[in-house]
Amino acid sequence: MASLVTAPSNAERPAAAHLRLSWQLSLAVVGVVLGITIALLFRTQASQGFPLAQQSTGTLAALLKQQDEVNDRLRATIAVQRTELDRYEHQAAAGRSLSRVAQSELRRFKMAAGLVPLAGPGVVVTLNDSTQPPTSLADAQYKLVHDYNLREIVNELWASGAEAIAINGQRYVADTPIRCVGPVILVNEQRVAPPYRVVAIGPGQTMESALQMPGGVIDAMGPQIASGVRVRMAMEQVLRVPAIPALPTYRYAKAAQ
Amino acid sequence: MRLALSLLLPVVGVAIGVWLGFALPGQVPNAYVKYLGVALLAAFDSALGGLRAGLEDTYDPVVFFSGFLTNTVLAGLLTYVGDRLGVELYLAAVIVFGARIFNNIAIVRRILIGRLRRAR
Repeated sequence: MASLVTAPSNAERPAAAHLRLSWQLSLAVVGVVLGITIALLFRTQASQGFPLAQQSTGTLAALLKQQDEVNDRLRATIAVQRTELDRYEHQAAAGRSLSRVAQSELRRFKMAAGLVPLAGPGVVVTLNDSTQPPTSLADAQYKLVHDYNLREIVNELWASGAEAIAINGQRYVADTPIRCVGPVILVNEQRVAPPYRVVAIGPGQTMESALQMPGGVIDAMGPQIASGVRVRMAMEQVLRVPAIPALPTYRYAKAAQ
Repeated sequence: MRLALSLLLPVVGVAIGVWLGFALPGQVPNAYVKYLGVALLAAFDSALGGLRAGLEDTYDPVVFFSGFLTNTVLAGLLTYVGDRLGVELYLAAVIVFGARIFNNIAIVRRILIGRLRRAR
């Protein structure tokens, strides 16, 4: 070390060496403190996660996009896993005598929950925004199709006997929200864009006339239709609604005794 | 090489500290994060000051440890008083320590460069 230190004379060397070791030891002690504080701060910061509210819009947009891609990938795996599940159910059913009944029960439950795609006759309601873009916020109220329009139509469809409903490929089930965030409508938290195609399997004639009742939901859209919003209805013999991607998870609700 | 060797002990110290910090149970409550940050700066400042003194052969353990303690305590006190008064007094500690850290790094760098040149 002597070659690197500011050349102490031979007589001073033992004392200098002692001093040198001493400063290294002290530094090591403070280094331990330094390390502990670094680690603690790091841990605290990590446990707080990533405060979203403090991020810039650009960062948030990028994050959202990233998350959307993750969601898409996960959604793609659902179909695969569901067919696998079906296969297991079939195998299980083949093995036991009792499960023939259980199997048909299960099928009914899955239909009710929206876990199987369904097909049948029914009605298709197509709604589209006006071709002219709205000029103001107040104007937008009349020239666009809104989330509440869809909610009212879905509600009327259930009331008139619909057995399964989907909006732009999103199955409408018991806990499906229809809401609007800014300029887009979300169904099952998925963006849907105009034209909105509400597909309802059920008694076509009844559902169609229920929607068209005087004072009914389409009638209430009069001002919008006058401003250019387009609403079409068609009865069809073969309609298909897809399954919901996943069952809800219950964190709060338990079966009551 | 010998220079690197002399820095080994402090580096090992930091490594042990980091390990301890992660191994320790419990969490620092949010209210104390600021104190921890100031303590971090004080420790870093002291370490660099010690390194500089060691390289300059002016190291004195009493000066070193008393400086470390008073700096940390004073920084903590400033933070505490600032919190009570609603004035971010800890910024004073952050600025002073920050400036000194840069200052000391510059001096340590000069010393090291000088030695490496002379060693050649």
